[in-house]
Amino acid sequence: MSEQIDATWFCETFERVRSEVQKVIVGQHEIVESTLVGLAANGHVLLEGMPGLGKTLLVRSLSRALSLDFSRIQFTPDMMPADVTGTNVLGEGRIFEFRRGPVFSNIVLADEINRATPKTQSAMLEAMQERSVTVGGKRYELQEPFLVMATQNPVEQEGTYPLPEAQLDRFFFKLIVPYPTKDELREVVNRTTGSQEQEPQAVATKEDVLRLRAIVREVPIANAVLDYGLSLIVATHPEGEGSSPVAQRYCRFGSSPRGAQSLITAGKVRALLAGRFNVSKDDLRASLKPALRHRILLNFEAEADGMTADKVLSQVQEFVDTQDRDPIKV
Amino acid sequence: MSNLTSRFKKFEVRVRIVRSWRGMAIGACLGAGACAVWALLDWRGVLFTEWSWMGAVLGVSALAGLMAGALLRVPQAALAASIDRRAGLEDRLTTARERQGGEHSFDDALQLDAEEKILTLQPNKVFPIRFGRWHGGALVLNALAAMLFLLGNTPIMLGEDARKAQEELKKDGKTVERITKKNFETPEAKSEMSEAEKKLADEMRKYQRELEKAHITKEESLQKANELNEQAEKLAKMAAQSAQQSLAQAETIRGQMEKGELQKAGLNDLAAQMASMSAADRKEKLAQAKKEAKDIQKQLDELKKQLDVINKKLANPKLTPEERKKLEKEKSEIQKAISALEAKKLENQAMQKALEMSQEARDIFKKMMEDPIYKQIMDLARKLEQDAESASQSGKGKMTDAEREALRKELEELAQKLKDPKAMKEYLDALLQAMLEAKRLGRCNGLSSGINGLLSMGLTSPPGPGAPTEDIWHGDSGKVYHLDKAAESKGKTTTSVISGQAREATGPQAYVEIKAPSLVGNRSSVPYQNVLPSYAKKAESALDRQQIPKEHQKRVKEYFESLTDSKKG
Repeated sequence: MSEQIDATWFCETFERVRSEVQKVIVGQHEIVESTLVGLAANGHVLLEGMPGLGKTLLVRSLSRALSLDFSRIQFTPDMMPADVTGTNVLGEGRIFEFRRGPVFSNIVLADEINRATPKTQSAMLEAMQERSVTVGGKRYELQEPFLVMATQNPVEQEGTYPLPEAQLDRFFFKLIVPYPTKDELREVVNRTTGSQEQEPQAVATKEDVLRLRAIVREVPIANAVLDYGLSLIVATHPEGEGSSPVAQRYCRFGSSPRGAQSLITAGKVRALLAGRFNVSKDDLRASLKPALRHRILLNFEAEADGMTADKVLSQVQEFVDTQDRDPIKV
Repeated sequence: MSNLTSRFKKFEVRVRIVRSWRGMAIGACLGAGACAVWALLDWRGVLFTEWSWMGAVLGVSALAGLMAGALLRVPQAALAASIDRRAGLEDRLTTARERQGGEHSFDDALQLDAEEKILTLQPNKVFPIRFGRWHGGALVLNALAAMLFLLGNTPIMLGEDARKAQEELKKDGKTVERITKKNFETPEAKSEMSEAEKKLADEMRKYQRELEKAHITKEESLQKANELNEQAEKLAKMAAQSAQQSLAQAETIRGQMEKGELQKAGLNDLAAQMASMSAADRKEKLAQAKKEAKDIQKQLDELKKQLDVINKKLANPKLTPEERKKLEKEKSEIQKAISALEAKKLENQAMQKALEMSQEARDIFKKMMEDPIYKQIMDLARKLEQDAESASQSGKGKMTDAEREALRKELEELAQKLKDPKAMKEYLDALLQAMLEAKRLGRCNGLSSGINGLLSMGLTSPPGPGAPTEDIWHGDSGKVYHLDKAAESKGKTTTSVISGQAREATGPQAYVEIKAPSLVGNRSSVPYQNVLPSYAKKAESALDRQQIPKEHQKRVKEYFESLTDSKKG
């Protein structure tokens, strides 16, 4: 019975946080939910969208609702790794002491991360993967929960440094922030140009986030569902058994094993959100694009044919679905 | 068994029912496909079929599909996955089934959730009986098969004349069927048929089908009938030869048996020959032989005396060489005469002995013929021979199968009681073989007569006066093979009107004109309707001129009137 209570608590907490964030963020339900899924799954999220779509606001609101430490790093080409991680400075007692950088926060907003040089970007690698930073040969653990939410602008590519695949792979989700609809825009304007501005309240604590993550790990997944998820991953590979025709044609590289981990973990979170105690294939389908779109590398032919990662993934899903037939034909 | 597993049971039953429904459709689809192909082959005349056969194929295949659907295993994992899919249970059952008895924190909650969900489901809603693609396919293919069959078997696409021609061919088909059944499809015939006969029977059946389906033209039909007739005649000839050989062999064996009996009694052939003489002849011959023996003895005595005289003369030393030479010559001649007479005497003695022994041989034969066992065997053998003879002449034996079998058993039992059962068995085997060949001959003759009858009817030309009817077939040999009317066969006929039988169908009469050489033997294939007017006119003229005897005039008039009426009718 305690499991049921856990699951219910998970849903309620998740819903509370979402409601609180949605007080500030108009629309963008999918983005908000996916961000929260990333948080619950202990993954980092890459937000891609045009400037002014509320990416920073989303992150800030989330940190407030969760009453977590929040820091924002505005990446620029002249930024140094130490600006992210922190550095040793000579202190009063003529002793070098480590001054923590902005990465030492629960939620780190890496704004326009693609504007930083690769060297600075790579400084984020250890932090994101190892959840620690090493400065002056000394390792500093980051506090949990630790969530990096990076943003990048799909335009204005001049003077930017596209994120290397290794770094992209470290993001749990890549979310494409869409333009708001007309109604949403109206609501945005009304909220931001009026006399009163909504501020999110703290509805969860650091411990709550850690409990959320622990609950997620307990959700079971059937072999058949796991097999379906793995088929999706394998189908993104340009070669090998289970490779889909679309991947063979348009992909240079398919998803890494981290993609499979992301897909399954996200599926678990979505299962709990749906009030279930098991992961379904639909959960995996729902997480397919955010979990894998940044993990497949398209070739020139895809570019020439106007294929995007999302289109390829749609076709991959179709391919796997056609193979996943009802085992009882009647 | 957990709750969840037990909940699957009713779904499993439902799956079997729905699978049976689908399996039946698949089976029916395949069966209908096969029927469609079969119907097409039937239409093209390659492989014949009937509604009933096609129905049987369809039924069997549908039943096989149904059974397969009902009996195929339903794996529980597949069942759970399928229910999840169909009822939108988001893989609850699949996961719960896998996690049964698991120890993870969510496992119990998962089981409860899955059970709760499955309880809300009804198997008939999850697995409804639907009319699917296979069912549609089965219907379409069935319709196709039916259409192809109808196209090949109904004259709806044909003109009036062609339709009539087909009808006539079909009637011929029925006749051929009757001939084939009568000769080859009786249980007796089936068990006794040789390979050649079986082949001929198969060809007859094929021919019958072709006629029934009207897949051949009349000309082809006639040619085929001729070919079959030739084959039947050839087989009949071979069977006749075999029957003769077997009968001759039986006779030889019987002769050997009798000879054996005499040898056992120590009697020679001459005695056996003499045994056929009457008592008076034998007595007279014996008296003659005795008298002849006396004469011979007398001559011998005379010659011996002469020889003694010559010997005494030769003993005289005073004889001159010429005298001696003369006497020796005489002596030599006398000796030769004596030798000849002695040979004759021996012959006479043998004759006398044979004549005396012939009585004994006669007694043996008599005894043998009067032996109740032997007598019975000979009677039974005679019956068999008569049956074989009858079969070879009329195509039908005198005895029924049961009678023949009983007779055979009786013969074998009697043969066991005889002193020489081996010889008797050979005799019986030869007789039975002859009977078998005679029956074969009868069958082939019957078939040949049937085909000849069909040919003489010009294949569907209407039977006119004197033309063969169903019961009388006139082959080109001129023989009447079968007469059913006892009154006709005994010659006790009464004066009555002979009614001609015109064909029932009205309209133009179809006939086949055969170019020489005639395919119908010595008979005309011209329908009688074509010649009736001229003959009727001639008859009328003859009546007018009083050329017909008065007592027959009325009969002739009525005859021609009946024919004319039939034609009109």
